[in-house]
Amino acid sequence: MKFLRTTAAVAALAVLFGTPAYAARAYIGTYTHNEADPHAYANGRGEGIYLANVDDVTGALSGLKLVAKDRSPAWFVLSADHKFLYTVNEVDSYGQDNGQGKSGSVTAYAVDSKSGALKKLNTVDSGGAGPCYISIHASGKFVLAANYIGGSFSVFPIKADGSLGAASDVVKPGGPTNSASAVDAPPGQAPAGLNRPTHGHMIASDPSGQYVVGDDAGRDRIFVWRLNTGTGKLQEVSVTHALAGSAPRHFGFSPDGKTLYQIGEYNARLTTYGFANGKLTQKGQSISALPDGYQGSGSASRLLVSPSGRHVYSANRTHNSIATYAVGADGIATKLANTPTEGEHPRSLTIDPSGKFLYSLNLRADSIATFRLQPDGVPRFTGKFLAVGAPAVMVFLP
Amino acid sequence: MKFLTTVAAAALILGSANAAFAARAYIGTYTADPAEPRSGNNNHGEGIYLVNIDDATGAPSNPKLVAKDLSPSWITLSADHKFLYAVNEIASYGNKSGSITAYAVDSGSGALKKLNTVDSGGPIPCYVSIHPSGKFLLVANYTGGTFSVTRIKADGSLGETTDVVKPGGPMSVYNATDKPKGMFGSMEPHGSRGHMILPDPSGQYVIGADAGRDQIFVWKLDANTGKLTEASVTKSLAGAAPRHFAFSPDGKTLYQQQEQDSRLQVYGFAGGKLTAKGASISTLPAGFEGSNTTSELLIDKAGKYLYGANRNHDSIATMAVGANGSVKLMANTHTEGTIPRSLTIDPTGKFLYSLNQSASNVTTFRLGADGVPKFTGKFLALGSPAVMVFLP
Repeated sequence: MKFLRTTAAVAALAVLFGTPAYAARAYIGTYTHNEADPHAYANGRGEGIYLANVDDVTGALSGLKLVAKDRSPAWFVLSADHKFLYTVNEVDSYGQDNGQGKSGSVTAYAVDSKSGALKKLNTVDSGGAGPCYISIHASGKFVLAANYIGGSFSVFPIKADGSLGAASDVVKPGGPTNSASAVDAPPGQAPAGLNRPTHGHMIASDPSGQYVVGDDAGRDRIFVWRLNTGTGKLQEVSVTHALAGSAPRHFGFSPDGKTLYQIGEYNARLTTYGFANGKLTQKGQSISALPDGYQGSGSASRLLVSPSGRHVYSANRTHNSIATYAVGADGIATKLANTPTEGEHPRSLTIDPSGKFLYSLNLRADSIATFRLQPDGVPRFTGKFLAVGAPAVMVFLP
Repeated sequence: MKFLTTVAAAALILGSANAAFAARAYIGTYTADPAEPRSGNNNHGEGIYLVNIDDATGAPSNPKLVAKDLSPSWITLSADHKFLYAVNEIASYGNKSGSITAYAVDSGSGALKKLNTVDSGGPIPCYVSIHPSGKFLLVANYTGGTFSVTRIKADGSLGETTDVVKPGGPMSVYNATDKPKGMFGSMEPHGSRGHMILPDPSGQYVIGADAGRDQIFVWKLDANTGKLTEASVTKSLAGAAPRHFAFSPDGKTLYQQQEQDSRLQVYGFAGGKLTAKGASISTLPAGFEGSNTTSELLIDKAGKYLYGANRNHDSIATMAVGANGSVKLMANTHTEGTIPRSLTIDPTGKFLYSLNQSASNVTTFRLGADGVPKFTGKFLALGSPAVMVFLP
């Protein structure tokens, strides 16, 4: 112990003199114990938000440290100046039951850029239960959140001190519930379920900053809004119907913002859309994220576009693989490979800022696996694991 | 297609109902249990299925539900293949127990005719085997923490339960000192958990793995009374959870898979006693961190290779057996589907199957000369598969 303390002291000194040993650090968000419902999906052995060091040569993660004890911070985002971190709390037991059940919450933290320590600023109602995605509007003035169980999309003003105001808008799309199973799901796919309401799964600004896009994985729709930065209200520009039962979950934009790649959770298929004037137009056919001949259940989760825009990656949770796609001159993605994630149930994938490494956050294996991106774009396992309880999201702190 | 159809028709004319296929196999699945709807959330099977096996590719096809039953998650065939015995891995039979069901097998069609169902001697029975006398069915009950013996009648149906062994002793937890770094072992106290019961190759002994209190029992079965008499008890590492085991073909070595620390321990077996040989080895890749539990352990016919299934790393560990019975991890092969509940090798020894419970599929691997399974690209969709037994 004495030796370890000395090492820690030396490390602390190294921090003072500029942390030369590591290229980067990253925050890792986890699912934590759900006391209200231990059988719920949003549940895990994590304790909050962790900070890890990233080795710039091997990509390996180490020195895991709990920097914020919090309830299921399963998705978070850093402000552009890295001074603030905004996280969802993917719970359904926040606040008072307003007749439609309790809600989830979002929490603001101030970031100590040297130590990486987080200081909690405040927590507000997320506008619906089970918030699972959060991003910052291009204006930098608003936080956007998608609520899965609550079926809503919310907007929160960011105050001057970085804390969050109460929601300026909560969009709760109407319409009939959905019982469809996707016709192009893998043979043997478990049925998508009856009477599904809206499930907000992702919300983010487009690269131009003019639009906000939201995925409704319950009623199979992709919304495009404009955000009024005076009022903090979303105004609908277009609604695109995805294939019934496909459950549009995560999307990614090409760097020029003209193409949107959409992964369907239940049919485990990737669809390419052209994006212009706030409208989506499908390009080509959707393609499977799973290997040829796959049968059984499919459940896609994260979708990423590489920094160059040349490759797209998606995660398969029942096949436990990373699908790599190559982007053609027409922007259309074609499938290159499936690479085992080296752990069960990849909740998300992250690429490091240098573009050299890809990380798979394997929720049920309680570990993160590090991959090196090959020249052809295909990830190759480095042999490096990092144990962390129920990892869900990873964001680099430069 | 026309050519294929003609070939199949010719095969039928030549006098065998299934000449186009090398074999058939039964697959048992996890099903919903109306008595406990919550426990059936992720169980998509409906009972016992029969599939055809292509002799060239090993691929299973045409699953046909031959017995609608509650979670027949482990099954075994009698030596003459006339009867099939299944556990019903439930806790809702009678007074919160599990059950076992006997079926008569129609060898021509593969159809199953239910004979009877009796109490398994404890909730959540998860393993069933037949004593070499052919007179008794042996069952391990997981939650009940018991090992039971049930008489098999002349007509193949199940008679009275002749013995239920319920080991005593202090409560235990799943938290072995040699578990992988970052593995969350359960701290919830539990008693015995019967996970496997099987006669040894000599037929003189019956072995039982208690994954709850970390002990391996050796009994002798009195073939008249159906009572088990303890010959020895071997303690595993606390919290390791001995789950499935396999014998060398000569019966002198027992390989014990440990569920909660993902390790394999080799034992010498003589005079009804187990003697640990060497240190246990990990079934996971070097440097693995995180949570994993092992499930199945298989040995090939020649006794040269062991195959262990890793759940959460979702891989098949291939281990080579050395001259002195020692083992070495050779490779980890992706199962191509989540939560492999069990593995099966076909009777020719060419193919290995992974029954991926959460992915609801069965994946087919070819066993190469180096013993390492290589994925054939063949998937078979089937709800929550758990066990696969070949019908010759």
